[in-house]
Amino acid sequence: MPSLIKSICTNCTLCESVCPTSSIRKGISKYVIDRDTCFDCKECVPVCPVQAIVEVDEEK
Amino acid sequence: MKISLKTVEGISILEAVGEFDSKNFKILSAGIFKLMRDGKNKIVLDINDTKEIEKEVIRELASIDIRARELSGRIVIVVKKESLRNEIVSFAKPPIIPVYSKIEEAIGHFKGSTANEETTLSEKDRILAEKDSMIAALEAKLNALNPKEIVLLKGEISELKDQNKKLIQQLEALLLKGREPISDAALLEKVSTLESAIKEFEKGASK
Repeated sequence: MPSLIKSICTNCTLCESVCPTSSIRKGISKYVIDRDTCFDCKECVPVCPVQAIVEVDEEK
Repeated sequence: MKISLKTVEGISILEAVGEFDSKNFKILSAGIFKLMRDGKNKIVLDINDTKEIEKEVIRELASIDIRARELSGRIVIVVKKESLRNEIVSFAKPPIIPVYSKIEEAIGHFKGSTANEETTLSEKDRILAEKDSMIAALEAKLNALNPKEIVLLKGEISELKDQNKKLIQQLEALLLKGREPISDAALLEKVSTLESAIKEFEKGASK
């Protein structure tokens, strides 16, 4: 299940630094996850201070 | 540990830079599973930077390799350090995960298996083509026959079958006749013939 960064992202860059596949990069107003390269390892989820990274069901 | 992914001739090369142990192995396994979900089940795992590898990690890799093989794929490891390669090879007898020192060799592993598959397939195609041509020839023969001729042939076949039946019945009757006991008159005739033969033999012997 891929993850998504919500608009409450504070651009703290913590998720970007822990991502092993460098799939998180700066977007227009918040950080975004590249779903093509993301391995769904969820390393970024616990480091987010505002719990902005959530799992989304692609099929929905 | 940082992971990067690149694809060479349909083979996914997963490069893990930095130390890799059972703690961060879950990141790598997540990557492998994602590749397999996407149908990319020919994976080269490049862990050249690794100084040591835990037994638990090899065990996990083996179980992932089994899953990849179920999907007609394979996991091949690339490690520069010879002692690590030996460790992976000697983990199980016979060795379960192929290990190479160079990426080119690992890619060659998949190319070799593809070449074999192609040879087998081409051989099967050739046999199929031969069978197809045989079927086509038979169909042509069948189509060349006149429908009237077919009816006549069928009639001849049924006549021959009747004749065959009659002959079998005659043969059975003859066999039964042969088994019947001999009559008294015939027995006397046989005995008299034998007696005369003996007399002639005795005459010849006395001379």
